[in-house]
Amino acid sequence: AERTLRLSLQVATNHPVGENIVYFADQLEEISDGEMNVEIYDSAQLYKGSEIPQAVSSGAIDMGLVLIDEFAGTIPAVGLFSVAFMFPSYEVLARAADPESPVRQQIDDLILGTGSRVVWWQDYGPVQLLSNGAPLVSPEDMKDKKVRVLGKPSGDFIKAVGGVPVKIGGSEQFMAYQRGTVDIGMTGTTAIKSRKLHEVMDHVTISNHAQTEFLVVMNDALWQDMSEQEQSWMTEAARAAEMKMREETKTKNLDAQKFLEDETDMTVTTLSDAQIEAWRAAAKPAIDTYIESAGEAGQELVDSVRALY
Amino acid sequence: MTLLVVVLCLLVLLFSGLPVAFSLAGLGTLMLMFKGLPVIMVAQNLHGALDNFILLSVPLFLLMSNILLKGGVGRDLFDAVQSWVGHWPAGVGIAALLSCGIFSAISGSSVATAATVGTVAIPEMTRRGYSRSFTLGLLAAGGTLGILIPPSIPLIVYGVITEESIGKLFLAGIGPGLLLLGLFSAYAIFYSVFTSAHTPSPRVSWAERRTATIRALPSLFLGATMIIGIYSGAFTPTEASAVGAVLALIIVIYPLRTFTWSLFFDAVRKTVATTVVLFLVVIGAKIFGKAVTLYQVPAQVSQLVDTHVSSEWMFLLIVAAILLFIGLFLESLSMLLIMVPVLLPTVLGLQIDVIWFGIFFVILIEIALITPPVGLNLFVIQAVAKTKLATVVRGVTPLIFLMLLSVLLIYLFPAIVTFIPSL
Amino acid sequence: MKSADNRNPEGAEKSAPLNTLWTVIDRIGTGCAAISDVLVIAIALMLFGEVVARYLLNMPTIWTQDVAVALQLWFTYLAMAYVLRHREMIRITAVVSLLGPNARRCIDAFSLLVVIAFSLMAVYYATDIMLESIRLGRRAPTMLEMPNWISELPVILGFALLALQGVADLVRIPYRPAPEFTAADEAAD
Ligand code: NA
Ligand code: NA
Repeated sequence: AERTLRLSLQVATNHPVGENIVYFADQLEEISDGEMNVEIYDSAQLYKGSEIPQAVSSGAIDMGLVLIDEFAGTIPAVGLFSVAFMFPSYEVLARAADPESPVRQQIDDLILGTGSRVVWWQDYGPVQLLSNGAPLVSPEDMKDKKVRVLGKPSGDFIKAVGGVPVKIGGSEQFMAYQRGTVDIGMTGTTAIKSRKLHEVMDHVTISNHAQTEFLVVMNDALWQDMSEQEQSWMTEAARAAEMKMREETKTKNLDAQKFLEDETDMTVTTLSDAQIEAWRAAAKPAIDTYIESAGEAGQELVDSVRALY
Repeated sequence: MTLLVVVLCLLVLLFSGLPVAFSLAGLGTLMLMFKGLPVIMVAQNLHGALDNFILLSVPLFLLMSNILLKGGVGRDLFDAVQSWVGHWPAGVGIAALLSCGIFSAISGSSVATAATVGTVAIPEMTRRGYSRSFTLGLLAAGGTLGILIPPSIPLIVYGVITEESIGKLFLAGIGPGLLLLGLFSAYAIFYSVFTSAHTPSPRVSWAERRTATIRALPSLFLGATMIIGIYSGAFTPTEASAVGAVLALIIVIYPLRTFTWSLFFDAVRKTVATTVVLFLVVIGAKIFGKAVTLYQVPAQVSQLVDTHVSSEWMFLLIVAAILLFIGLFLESLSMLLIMVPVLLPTVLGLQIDVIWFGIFFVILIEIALITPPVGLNLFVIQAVAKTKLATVVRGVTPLIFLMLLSVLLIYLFPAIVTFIPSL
Repeated sequence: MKSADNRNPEGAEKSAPLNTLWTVIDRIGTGCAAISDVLVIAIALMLFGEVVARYLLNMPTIWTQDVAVALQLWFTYLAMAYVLRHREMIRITAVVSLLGPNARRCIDAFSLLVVIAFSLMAVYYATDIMLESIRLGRRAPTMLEMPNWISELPVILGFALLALQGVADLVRIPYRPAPEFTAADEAAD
């Protein structure tokens, strides 16, 4: 091949996000007729997700997979997708994350400022709340409970509803729930299934309160170095991978939800519109915190999302 | 071909006396340069390898056991156990083994366990007429339990590499730890029946038992707190280590009254120095591991295994043989850090339980600790007893076979490993 | 602590040129190790306090984990030079312990040269990384949002100290008794 790109991802290639990257690599090789190919280093052999922003922008690795939130410390505005109850439905999310959407373009530009170019987005689906004994119907159920959080935006949300945020890593999650280190869990629908969390938590509340978005980023200097032909091959393959992922994610999440309902002892609780509204109102301070730390860009992004409702 | 050259270079560097950490890091850096890969990657790892909350439990578990060590806990524990079982036929030997087991629950290291218990138990066993080589072998092997019974530094590092739960790994070590303790004790009893040159210690009075036990109680309590605390989820392993360090300090200050500032600062300095030494090897291995990954070595190994090895038992047999071989020469943590990243893709591919594999690996590391020419526990016991290496080696040989037997047993009955974490 | 200085059967230490300078470097290393001691104690107390805060007060802090991890980087890298001077690093000595005194000196010099070269490379790239973090305002995406440079700086300081200590030890090799390599050098686990 004329050009080989090295790509680092922290999950295995049989994980849905990893499968999508393999699909991209195959597409790129096919479209470019073998002129371009991708060497994939999976399972965090090279980098943890948190190391990717620095590794890609410095050129230590050509491309990498990263959770969008990993940029949120440096650029608070990109934490948008983890702000609780920002996206009322899957349709609004799809519109906001579409390659042509102003929300998406603004975030891509902010990230480009760090030397990393966003190649495509991978929807990984909504985040839910887990509990033992009773479902979490209203925000009052969170009062003084210890809740697993993933990062700053989810921590702000839990504080806003009166819970106590505790940071627990993905691999310690199962034990933390089993042994009651935290009272309430938080994770994606598909992860409940893959990490067997239904064995240790008996209720899941479909809160859909935040979205997991993975980004595939690339060193911008390398992008500039590519010919127009190469850039257009990349764009085409990336677009194909992104659309495939978006279609599959919705089905996969609903399937996982159905699996939990039918095949496990877990009780799945969905919320009515009025109940969601109560959660949204309770979580409002978290949106204010987001706008406060993200400044003008944050306000603009919130307005753009609301325009899509 | 590449693989062969890399392995050869590494061996030359290692045997040149260059510190292991810099052999790994230096060779890794050269490999990146040779292929024109960005060297900035090395510097990122210097930061990234230690930017890890789980690794924090390493210095804190070390701190806990160093404080207790300087506070004279080894003597207290051994005296207490001996007051209960010392008058049995193989009593003093069993007391030494049980002390190793208990001390393992408050120490993450095999070397510390062997040194602490060895210092008090070797003179006592020698005085009671046990043969020199039997005594030294028993303690060298008993000391290796330090890394199987939780807490365990190699298990922490294994959990960090494989992203498995440290809590689960710790719990998984308990069953096989007790199994080995049982096998070793059976051997000690068997040996006592067939040789009679030694005398049990006299039965002690209930009053003496009570005094000795009360003195050991705080350390027993601490060991129990660690295991129950992790098991119940009261705290994560890292927090358990911090709780343990603070409790250890309290114990030596009040009930034991052996605290002095100079002993305390010695314990802290020893902790810092050992942590730096260990972490540098972790970092070096990480850099080397990444270079090896970019040379596609793990993929090649996986492929090799895929084409030639069809079953789980064959793979495990090969891994065991390789680990036994490199364990003759390589220090324990380096074995883990170099081999696990290379083997992990295949382990996952064959759907071997990653927790079980961790315990399997650690038992093989334990064996490496007592096989010559490079076996840290052999050196420690040799130094404590001021004797020839050959004497220790002779005594430890039967116990190596018992450890191999335990590997076979956990393969045939995986529940020995998986039962406690599943409760 | 083992001391590298006084376990020699083959002659006493002679004073090297610029001896004061090398002694000052030794002292800096020891001073930094003392800072590391304090940091380790601080980490233990902080994490213990966190458990207490969570269980007794139901008030976990948002900063303990992040600060403890940053301190871990600081205490490790600050104490590296001390560990080098005291020859505590794990090395395989089975072969080199068989060599004569001058060969052992050469072996030691080779080790120090590798350490110095690696350290200089590390300082160069780590500085690059830290300057970029400051320029972009990189922060961790956690509740505390700690700036990245805080935990990147100790890498630079630590390896700069290590390089200095390496030079100080290298220069003094000819004036010192030949190093002895014993099995104990491999002991740490
Ligand atoms: Na242990
Ligand atoms: Na060995």
